[in-house]
This record gives sequence, C-alpha cells and structure tokens, in this order.
Amino acid sequence: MTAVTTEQAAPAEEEVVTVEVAAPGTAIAVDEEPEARRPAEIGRRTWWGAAFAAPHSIGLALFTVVPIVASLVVSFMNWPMIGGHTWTGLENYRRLFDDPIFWVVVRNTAEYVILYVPLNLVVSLGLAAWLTPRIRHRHIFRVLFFIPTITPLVANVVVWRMLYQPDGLIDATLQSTLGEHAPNFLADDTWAMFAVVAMSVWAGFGYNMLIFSAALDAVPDSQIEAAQLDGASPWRTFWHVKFPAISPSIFFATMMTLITSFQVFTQPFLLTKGGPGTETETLVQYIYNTGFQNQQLGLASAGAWVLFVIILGITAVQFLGQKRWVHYE
Amino acid sequence: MKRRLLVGVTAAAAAWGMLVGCSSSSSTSNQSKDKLVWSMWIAGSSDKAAWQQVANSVSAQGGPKVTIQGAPFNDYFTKLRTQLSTGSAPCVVSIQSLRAANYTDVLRPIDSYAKKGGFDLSAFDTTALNGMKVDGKLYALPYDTGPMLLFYNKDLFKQVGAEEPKPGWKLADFTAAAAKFKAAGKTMFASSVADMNLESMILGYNGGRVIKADGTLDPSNPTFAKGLDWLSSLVKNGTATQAGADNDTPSNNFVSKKVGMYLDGPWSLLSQKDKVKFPIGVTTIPTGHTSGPSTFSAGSGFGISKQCAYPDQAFTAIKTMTSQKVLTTLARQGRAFPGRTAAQQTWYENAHIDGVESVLKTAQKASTPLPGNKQSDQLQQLFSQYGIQAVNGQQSGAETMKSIAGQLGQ
Repeated sequence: MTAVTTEQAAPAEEEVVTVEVAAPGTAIAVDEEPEARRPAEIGRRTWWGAAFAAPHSIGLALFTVVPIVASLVVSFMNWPMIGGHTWTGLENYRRLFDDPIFWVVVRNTAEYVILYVPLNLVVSLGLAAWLTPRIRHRHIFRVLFFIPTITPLVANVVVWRMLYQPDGLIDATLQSTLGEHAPNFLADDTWAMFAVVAMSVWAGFGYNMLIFSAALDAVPDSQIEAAQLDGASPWRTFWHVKFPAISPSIFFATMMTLITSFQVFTQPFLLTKGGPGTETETLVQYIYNTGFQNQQLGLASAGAWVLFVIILGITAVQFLGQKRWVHYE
Repeated sequence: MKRRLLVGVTAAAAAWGMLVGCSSSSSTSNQSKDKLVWSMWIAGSSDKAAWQQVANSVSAQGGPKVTIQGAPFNDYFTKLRTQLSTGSAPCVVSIQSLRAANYTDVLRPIDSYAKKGGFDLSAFDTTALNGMKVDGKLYALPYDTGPMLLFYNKDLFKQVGAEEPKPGWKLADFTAAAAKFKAAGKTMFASSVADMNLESMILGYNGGRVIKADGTLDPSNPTFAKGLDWLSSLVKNGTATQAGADNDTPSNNFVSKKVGMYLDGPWSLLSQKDKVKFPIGVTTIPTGHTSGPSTFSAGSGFGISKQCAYPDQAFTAIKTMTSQKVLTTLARQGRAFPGRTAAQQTWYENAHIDGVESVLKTAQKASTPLPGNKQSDQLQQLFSQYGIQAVNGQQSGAETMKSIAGQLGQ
C-alpha cells in the first residue's frame, strides 16, 4: 500500500476529514465520522452539493430540458421562422402523416437501419473476435480500425466521394481490370443507399469494435480453458462461452447503434443531399429541410417528436427482449 | 467558512459567465450608431482580408465602425434566416440577387434612403441594380454582378482540334466541338444540377424557364422539361459527364483537366484562372431554339435588415462599401466583376484573358436577371436531389419536374 495519509488542520467548528491520497490504480478511501450529523451540517453539505452540481444542472436545464419542452409546444403550433405563431393542435401531425414524402423518408430511414445495424455489429464483432491477444501487434490494428471513428465525418465523405464518383477509384479500377464502367453509385437509384451504408459502416464500426474487444479480453481465461479441455471447437467456444459472457456489451452496442442510426443525417446529406430523388433522404434530413429550408418550425418539431417516439418504442422493445439473450453475471 | 462560500460563489458565477459568454460571443445586440455588424459569407483567409478592407473603408470615410460576422457560403443563408428571425439581426446584410425575394420580409427597402441623400443609382450596372429589386423596390446596393458563362480549357480545345468558341456561338457550334472531343476520347462538358447553371443552360437551349420573369414558379413548364431531356442526351452521347449532388465537382473536374468546359459566373473567373495550369478561355452559353435571353445573370449586394435601429448609418456604410473607390480596389485585386459600370474597366484590364471584355459585354446583352422566389431555396435543394435523375437519364425531364412540382406544393 503506497497511500499517503494527510490530516488537515481545520478550524474548530469544522469536522476533521482524513483523506487518503491513493496512488494510481489503487482505491481512494475517505474516512468519515460514524456518528449522526447535526441537521445544520447536513444542510450545509446539501448546499455544497448543489453548488457543485449547479453548473451542469443549469447547462442541462438551459440547453436540454428547455429546448425539449419548447419543441414539444412548438410541434402543436403553426410556427413559421418569421411571422406570427398560432396554436393549431394536432394539425402538424396530421399534415405530416398526410405527406407521402414523409412516409418515403420513414421507409428510407428503416432501410438504412436494417442494413447498417447488423452490418456494423457483424464487422465490429468479427474484427474484435479476430483481434485476440495471440495476434501480433494487435494494438496497432486496433488503432488502425479506430481511426475512421475519430476522423471528422466531413473529411471521410470527401474521400469516399472520390471513390464512388465516375472516374473515381472504384470506376477506374473496374475499367482497367474488366473494361467495364462501375455504376454511378451516388446518383443511381439502386446503389445510392448501399453506398451510403457502406461508407457509414466503415466510419462507424471502430467504436463498437473497441467495446467488444475490451469485453472479450475480460472473459475469464479459466472458462475458456475449461471449454477447451472439454474438447469444444473454437467456434463453439466463441458462441457458447465468449458470446454469452459479452452479451451485456453487445446489448449496449446494439442499442446505441440503433439509436444513432435512426438519427442518421451527415452521411446521406453530404454524399447525396438525399438524392437521387428521395432515395437516400432520411427522417432527420426531412426535419432539417422542413425547418430550415421550408421554414416550418412547427412541422419540423412534430417530425422530431415522431422520430423520438419511434426510437423510444424500439429501445423499449429491445429492453423487453434482452431477458432472452443477455446474461448478467 | 466565509472564504469557502466566497470561493463557491465565485466559481458558480464564473461558470454562469462562461455559459452566458458562450451564447453571446457573436451577439449583434451591441450595435450602435458608431458600431455596426455586417454579415457576410467568407471562403478563406484571402476572402476575409479583402472584406476586412471593405469594412475598414467605412470608418476611414468617417462612417461607423463595421465589424464582419462571417459564415461559409453554404451555411450563410441558413444562419442568416435564423438570425434575422430571432432579433439579433446584423444591420448590414449581404444578399444574393436571386435570393432577395426570399428576404423581403426581413430587409428594408432602401429607395427612400437613396432619394433622401440624392444618391446616384444610375452609376450601377442596370442588370445588377434590377436584380436587387423585388416588386419595384430596391433592397440592396450591388457590389458584383454577371451573367453565367462557360469557362473552357484552351489547350484541350486545341488538342482535340475543336474550334475555340466565339462569344455568341450557336448550338450547332457546341455540337461540332463536342464531336471533336468525342473523337479524341475526351468529355467536353461538365454537367451540373446547381439551380442557376441548370436554368441558364436550358434558357440558352430553348428559352424554357422554371421561374417566370415576374418571379412566380412554373415547375411544370414543358419547354424546361424538354431542356432537361436535352441535357440528359448530352450525358448519354458522351458530351457531358454524369451529374452528381456535389456542386463543386464540375469546377474540380475542369481544374483537373477531366473536362474541357463548365458553367460558372464571372465572380469565379479570376480565382479560377490562378488555380488552373492551362490557359483559360471564356465564352457565352450557346444559343439554340430561342430568340430571347440566353443566360441568367445574378449578383450580390449589401442591404439593411428591417430590425436595424440605425438604418441611416447602415446606408452610409453600404454606400461606402459599394463606392467607386472600393469596387475599383476589389477589381484590381482580381475579385468579382464589379456592380458599378465605371469600375468594370479596371476588372477587364486586370483579368488578362483574351477577349474577356467582348464576351462579358455580349453575355450581358443576352442576359436577364434570375428572379428570386420565396421557394427558390427549396427549389435549389430539389434540383440537387431530383435534377440528377433527369440529367443522368434515369427519368424523363417531365417526370422529374412533376416530382419537383409535387414537393413545391404546385
């Protein structure tokens, strides 16, 4: 134990607190007087607590709670960006559900989620499983795979556009090897969504890979050894020992990936602007266009609340379903 | 104890100050008679330096101190709309002619200020000045103007054996040059679905337009749809590249010599000339089946926000910012084509591009201002989504325009 004990010389009316300053990697213990405290003292401590929590609480209230409540109120109003506001009740929601484009973007968002989430999980879990401690220089690989996650998405998009565009890297390679033109990925109805998903998976798998990799490292060796002694194949060891052990991490990653993929905006907006036509226009871009281009803040807020309800519903279903496959030990 | 309380309160106050400070660092609420804020799009450090010089010229002439509030061009109008609607409006507002109609509710008509001071508006280029008018009212003083033009690579034209396009060239000349490019295995023209480019090219081809001269939208115009089909035929027969959603691609393809020609405005000509590694040429948009105007012109200018409490001072500022002296200085620096006729000569002399004066004069004569509309921002977005399908031949022009009309609620 390398802990150093310091005793503060405090004024008479203050309690004496002994603080153990711990060395890195060791626990910090704070010894406190076991006796019941005087009410005045408790009050004072509460105030101090409140004072420390205040900056964050004020920030949370100002920048999160107030805007959320305001957007709910705005969603029931006709609120053009400039001009008067009137209460219209459910009119915005009715208009939204009557707009055929709204249903198109809901379908597009669902398509994106259905393609992106499983692909992201398979790629990240696959790479995490491959990056066992037996792989030489695994830390270098980890860093390499994580780089796309930390580079700005806007820069990634510029590079991917160069790959996708006619005469870009993919097209040029196909021309020189097969003599065939590649499709114009970002401008073709059939390919645009796949192109957006592929770019998103590349940019997004690193985060989940890191979570899975850390979780796999934490699976006790004794369990794996026991399985191996029992003659389990690597495949069986993975599915019946490692996978259940890391299932809480997988659940967490699935949930976060689902939530963020419903909110997808940057990749399609920068790669295709939602086109060709509305092929890659997502719900968030629809909300953005409605708010900032058509200047209908009420309608845009209603769209945002619909998105919130969809995400809430799906997250709730996942929580209910987790009992079947997530093991907490 | 007291000391601790003091520390706590100070810390809380500092945190609060940081929060408040963050939200008001770019506030325009501290404008006064002697201090105005000017909102402008800024593309880089050289842009910033040039505009700073313009801002400084105002106080140098005894006017108020003007502070620039910049944003990249792509975000500028989104930000401006939000600013002007929240009451933190900058007094001096930069605006594009084709967007002026979008902002008449938040901009102040300036005719009366010009009249009051006996300000001579006739010194401005007529097309530039007309572009800043909506329903007969003037909303900004123009600093630049220009018709859409075609920039071309002189070397590539020579290399494929095509004749260099002369100002006022016709569709047949365009087709003949395209054939030479094709024979040499090159692509002549870079497709673009940016609103002004698309609309100008079609106006030259058959006079079809999606915004009528009075500013009303006409998305189901059959002539315009036919124009889209023509652009699509250019892609199909290899004259033009496929269109993409990124509006910078045509310019990039031109600089990297992938195409021989693309559409742009005189505001980009001199900066593009410095960028390319070949002699740059410039010509008018080819005219096809039309006897009317064959290109759209647009420009930018400085207006005054409606909420500005110091409109007289703001007018003094924009007067200086578009003065003969300032615009001539900008022209000498190789920036946009000036909105004042007298400053244009300096620009021509500084351009050092063969025949640029006759090209611009021919194009100006053949041009008409692209009118704005309350939905023109939305139209621009829709062109970048749906225009691709038409130009790349996945849909007919008529089908595309039907989808766009549907989205515009027409």
